[in-house]
Amino acid sequence: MDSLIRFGFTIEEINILMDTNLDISLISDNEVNDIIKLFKDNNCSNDTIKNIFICNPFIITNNITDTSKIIDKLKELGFKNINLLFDSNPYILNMSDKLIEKLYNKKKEEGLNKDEIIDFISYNVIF
Amino acid sequence: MFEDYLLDIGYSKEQINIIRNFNASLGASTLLYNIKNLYSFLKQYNINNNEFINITMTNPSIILESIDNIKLKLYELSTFGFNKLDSINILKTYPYIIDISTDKIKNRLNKFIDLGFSKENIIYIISNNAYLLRGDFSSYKRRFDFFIDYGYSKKNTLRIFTSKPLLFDCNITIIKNKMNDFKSIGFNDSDIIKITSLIPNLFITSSNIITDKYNYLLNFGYMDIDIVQIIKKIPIVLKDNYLETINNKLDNFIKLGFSKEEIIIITCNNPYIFLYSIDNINNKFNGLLEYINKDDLIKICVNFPLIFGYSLSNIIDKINYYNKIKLNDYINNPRVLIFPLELIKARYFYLTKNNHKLDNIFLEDYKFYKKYKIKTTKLLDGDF
Repeated sequence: MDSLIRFGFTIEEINILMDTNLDISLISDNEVNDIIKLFKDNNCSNDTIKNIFICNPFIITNNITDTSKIIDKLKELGFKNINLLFDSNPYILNMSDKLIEKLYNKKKEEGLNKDEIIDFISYNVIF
Repeated sequence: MFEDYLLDIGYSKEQINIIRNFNASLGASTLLYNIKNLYSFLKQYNINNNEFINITMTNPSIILESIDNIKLKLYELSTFGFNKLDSINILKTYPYIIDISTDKIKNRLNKFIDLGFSKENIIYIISNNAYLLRGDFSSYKRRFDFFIDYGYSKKNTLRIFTSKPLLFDCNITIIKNKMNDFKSIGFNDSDIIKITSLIPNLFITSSNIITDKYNYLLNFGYMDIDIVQIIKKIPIVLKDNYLETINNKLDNFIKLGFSKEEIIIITCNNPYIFLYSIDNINNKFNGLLEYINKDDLIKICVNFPLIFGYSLSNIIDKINYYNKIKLNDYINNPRVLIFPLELIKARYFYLTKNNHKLDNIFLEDYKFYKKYKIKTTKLLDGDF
C-alpha cells in the first residue's frame, strides 16, 4: 500500500482500487514495485500506469510473469508503442497472451494485414 | 467450596451438576483440585473463562486427565507442525483431541496428505476443524472424489476444501442440489465449476443466495441470459450480502439520471461496474459533468460503459487539451476520450507544422500513415 502512495495514488484512488480488488491489501510493496517497474520499463508514464491500475486493479495482484507474457506477445506481434496501447486500451491486459494471439490470427484470417490488426487491437477496446 | 469456585468462573448450576455427575468417581476435593490445576494451566495460554467452560462441558473427561498428559498432547501436536496457537485452538474447539492417540492423528494427517493437501494446508484445515481427525475418513474422501468426478481439477478441489473444510462433512445431496439451482438458472457444468471454485462458500450457504440476486435482477428488467453472463463475468455478485450492494448501485444510477433500460445496457456491457463503489461512479460521472452536458454524458456512458473504468484525471487531461487546441467538439465521442494524449500532442504538432487541417487527428495509426506517410514512432520522436 505504501508503494502505491509513494507512486502518487491518492487515498481515494487506492480505495477505488481496493473496492474492486481486495487482494491488493495482501500483496507486498516489493510486488507492487515490481509491476510498476515492468510498465516503466515499457515506457509507460506514471499517468498511464495509474490509468492501467484504475481500469484494471487485478493487474496489480496478477502473476507478474503472466503480465510479462502479454507484453512480450504484443511486442512479438509487432506492437511498437505498448505505452500508447495501454493508455488507450488498458483492458487489453485482461486478456492472456494466448487469447491475444488467437485474436490476431482470427483477424489475419479475415484478411486484415498486420498494421490493420494492430490498429484494430489498439483502437477497439476489447473486453 | 467446589460449587463456589465454579460459579466464580461462570458455570451455571446446571453445568456444575453435569461436571459433578460426569466425574462422580472423584471426590469433591480431588475434583476441585483437578479443575483448579486445569484452569491455571489453560490460563497460561490465554484461555478465557467462557472457553474454559466450553472445553470442560464439551469433554468433561478432560478434568480426569493429568496436566502432564495435556502437555504431552500439545507437544505431540507440535511435532506434526502445529504451532502453539494452533494446538491451543484445537484444544479449545475440539477438546476430544485429548482422547485421540498420536498414531491415529498421524495416520489421519497422512491420509489427507495422500489426497494431495500440502502440510501447510492440512495444518490450517485441522487447526480450525479438528473434528476431521476423528470422523469417518472414507466419507470425507467420498465428498472430495465427488468434486473430482464432477470435473473440478485436483488443484481447484484442494483449494475449495482448504477454503471450506466444512464440505468434508456436507451431505452430497445438498451439494448436488446447489449445483441443480445453478443449472435451473441457465449455467452449465463448466460455469458451475468456475463460479464455485472462486466462491466455495456458495455450497454451504442457503440456496436463496443465488436465487435472490437472480430474481432481483430479473424483476429489475434484465433478461435471464444477461444475468447468467453477468454472474459468469463477476461471480462475486453471488457473495453473501451482495444483494443490498446491487440494489444500492442500481438505485444510484437511477438517481444520476439513467433509465432502467440504459442501466441494463451499461451493466451488461461492463459488469465490472458492479464492483465499483458508488463514490467512484459518482466522482467520475460528476467530474465529467463539468465538461460534458448530462444528456451527452449519459449517451457516452451507454455507448461506452468502459468509461467508468478509466482514470478520471486521465480523461480530464485530454478534455482540457482538446479545449486548448479547439477540438472540444469531439469530446462527445468516447473513442476520442481514450485516445492516447501523447499521440494527440505529437500529431497536433505535426499537422499544424505542416499546415494540415486537424480533421484526421484521431485516425488510426495505419490510416494516418497511409494519409501522411509518417509512422507513429517517428511522430512521437518529433522526427519530421
